[in-house]
Amino acid sequence: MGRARSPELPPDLQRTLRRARRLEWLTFAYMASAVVLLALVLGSSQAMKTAWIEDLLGLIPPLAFLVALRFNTRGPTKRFPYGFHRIVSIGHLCSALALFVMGAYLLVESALKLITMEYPTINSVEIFGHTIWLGWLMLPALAYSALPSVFLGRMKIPLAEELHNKVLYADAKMNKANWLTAGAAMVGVVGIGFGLWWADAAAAAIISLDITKDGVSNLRRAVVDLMDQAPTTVDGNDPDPLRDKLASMLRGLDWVEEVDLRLREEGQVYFGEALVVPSDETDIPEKVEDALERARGLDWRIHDLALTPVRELPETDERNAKIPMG
Amino acid sequence: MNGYAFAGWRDPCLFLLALIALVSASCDFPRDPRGTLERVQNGTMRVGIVENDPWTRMEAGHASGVEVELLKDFARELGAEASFVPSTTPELLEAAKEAEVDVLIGGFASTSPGVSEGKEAGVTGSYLTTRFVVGVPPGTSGFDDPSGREIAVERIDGTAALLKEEGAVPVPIDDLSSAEMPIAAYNWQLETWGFESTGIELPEEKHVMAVPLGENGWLVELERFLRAHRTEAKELLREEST
Repeated sequence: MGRARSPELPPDLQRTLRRARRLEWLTFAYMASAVVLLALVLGSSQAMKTAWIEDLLGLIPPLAFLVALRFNTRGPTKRFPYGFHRIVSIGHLCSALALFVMGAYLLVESALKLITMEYPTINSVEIFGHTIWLGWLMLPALAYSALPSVFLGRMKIPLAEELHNKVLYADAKMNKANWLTAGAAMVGVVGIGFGLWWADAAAAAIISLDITKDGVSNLRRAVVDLMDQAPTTVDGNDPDPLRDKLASMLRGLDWVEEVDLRLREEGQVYFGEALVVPSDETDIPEKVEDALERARGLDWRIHDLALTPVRELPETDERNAKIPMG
Repeated sequence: MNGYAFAGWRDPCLFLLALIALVSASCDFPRDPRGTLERVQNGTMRVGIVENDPWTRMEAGHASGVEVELLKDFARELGAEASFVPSTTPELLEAAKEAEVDVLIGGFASTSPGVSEGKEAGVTGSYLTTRFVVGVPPGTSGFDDPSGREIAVERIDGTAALLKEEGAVPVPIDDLSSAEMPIAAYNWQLETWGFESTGIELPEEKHVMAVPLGENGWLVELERFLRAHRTEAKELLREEST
């Protein structure tokens, strides 16, 4: 049997991970500052409130990532014999659910404001003896909440791909799309400035649609991962070619007749079982050990593989169905 | 990746540029969705008024009080005529929803139910902060703890509620200045009437006015006026309340 390796990552990826962690700390601190700044100029614009809540929700993915990192590389214990890898997927599910619920709530709220024709009222504030409409102050605050996050998101995507971390990936995508939110909120606020009362609620509806969409797609990915979907690439669109690579490697061994392989994702890494029908039954323990060695050498993500020699493969078998969901 | 990256970062910048251009081109912003400011200028300013002495009073069709005087000045500044519509808070909030009145006054504070939530009408920033002090008639001994004591007020209102929260028993009395018991009043009232302050202060009240929802240009203009006339408001209050 192939035992889990600890730590999860090979040395070069440990460096990538440290970078990702630094970036997520940075994201967290920056998002927190944006949340505070927006709160200071919040007023009663619905679009503004929606953008603010999105930033607030944006704190969850980096937090989920950082918390998950504290646990997922711990070795297995007696109580948790499979280790703690899945905590990454649980973090993913939590943040996806938060996104979805808030998005749906804000969508309903802004639609109601449109239907009941609620006129957004924004006061002025006094700064150094000048009376300034709060709406104008919202614009730079929104810009601050959007522009740096675009760059952070862009920096994180390649790291997420290397680390095969879906939480980091979802977070990076959200950061990257943040300027859309801020832009829509700006249009809403400027619309109010022009006396277009509906611009605000309409912008808020667009932003909440985007939040809901993010929520739904992340929710689907998190759920199918927890359902032990066959591994996919980090964007969740394609089956990971690693599975086929591993299967054909095993099949290519000279003592192996047939192979039945199944893999699942546990956070960043893969767990799985392979049933093999040996053509030559001498020295099976040595052969299995050698096969596991080769499997682990294939890719760091093949983390915990069990290889079982059998006389024949199970008959009813849909395990190798290769249609990924999500 | 590189081509995509370039396009992705150009978009937000273009967007921001467009916004900055738009904002800098605008001086008389924000505008009102229903054009209140424009209509009032050189026209009529309809003021919904709820009686609340000393802020607002209606006597034989004639309006007076601190907030009435302030708004008369505001109307003068806009070249408008102020017309006063006396009514109750719920009625006036309904009228404000339909933009049938332009300003609502009635000694509203930032905690006044119905007005302060900003759901039915837009609320100005506070233009004046006041605070009641408990005083005792000359020759009576003062006290530190108001709980359980009877304290005179002009009527049962927000002040009475504040007293009750402190544990005191508010007693409505017609003329505070001649009361022979502790009263809640402004500092200058205590001085004028010869009462001695006990040093017990009630929580601050932040005074506000209300305008129809969404009339942001109008709201900002009124706030600008009120901010510029804070001292005047304070003096008016002293005059009207002694």
